[in-house]
Amino acid sequence: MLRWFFLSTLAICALQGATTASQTVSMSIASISNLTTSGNPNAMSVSIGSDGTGSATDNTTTYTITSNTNASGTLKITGIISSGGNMPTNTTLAVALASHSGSSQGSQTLTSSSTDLITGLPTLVSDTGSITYTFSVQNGWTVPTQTISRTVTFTITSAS
Amino acid sequence: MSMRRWIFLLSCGTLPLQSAFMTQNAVIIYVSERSDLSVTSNPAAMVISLDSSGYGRVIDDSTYYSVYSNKKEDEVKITGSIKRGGSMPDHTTLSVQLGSSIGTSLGLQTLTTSNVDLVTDLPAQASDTGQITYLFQVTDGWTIPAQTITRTIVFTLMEKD
Repeated sequence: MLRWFFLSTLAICALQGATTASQTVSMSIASISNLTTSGNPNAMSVSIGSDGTGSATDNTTTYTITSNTNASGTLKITGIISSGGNMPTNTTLAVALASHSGSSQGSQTLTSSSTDLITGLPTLVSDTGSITYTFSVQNGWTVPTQTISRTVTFTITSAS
Repeated sequence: MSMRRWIFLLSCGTLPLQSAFMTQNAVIIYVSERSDLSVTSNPAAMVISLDSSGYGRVIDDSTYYSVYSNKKEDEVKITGSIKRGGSMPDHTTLSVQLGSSIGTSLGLQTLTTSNVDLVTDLPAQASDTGQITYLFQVTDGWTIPAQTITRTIVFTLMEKD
């Protein structure tokens, strides 16, 4: 009789204790690195001086970089002329990206090969900086009047 | 006296004797107190893609809970807490809401390692099924690395305070 009472009590206690339920919740924050620009710069017009040189600048646009990548090391931003080919002889297009989070490399001449513009960017970053273009002409009396259009692409890459 | 009459008289004489040996049993039927809380499954993985401001949110409402109780008295409530994995990382929150037809759902409540009320005023005798809604949110997401976070959530049915 005692055994029966003991077993019954155990069973009732077990039922009364089953008042919890569990769930395993899995959450992810996706890795994203974004680089955007505010728009295209204004047209830059050069009037050649008597010495055959001239330059024009534009700093009306900005870039914004955001990243939450969990990669090791640092990031950098490179620039390249991605459409239109290299600049005509005796002309150059240079660009400088200002940075609060990384090291700006100053004004760098753009070609159809990538050039470092900012280095040492942290992998967790949210920053906005100005873009300054400089269009220069040398020996301008050897270059015919023309309009030049180029597409410039900025890219975030791992610095390692 | 015919045989039939003898049998009848003998039968009548034995009835009072037999009643003297009858006993009564007191039958006690005990309905044991029982409370059950169950969930249908785990929610689907929740993946956030941050927007430009570093904010992101995702909702899962694919699972349900069921509650059964036959307690004699006292209202009951359902609480929730993070049982395994520790508190959520900085700039992230996990909230949960339990829908209820017979109690009072307290809406979305942020989960921590301490119990938080999710449904109150459940009657002592309850039978109900409700939707579980999880909300995973990230703020200032550019200050935390991409990662996967796993937490075990425990729901508890307990007597009202």
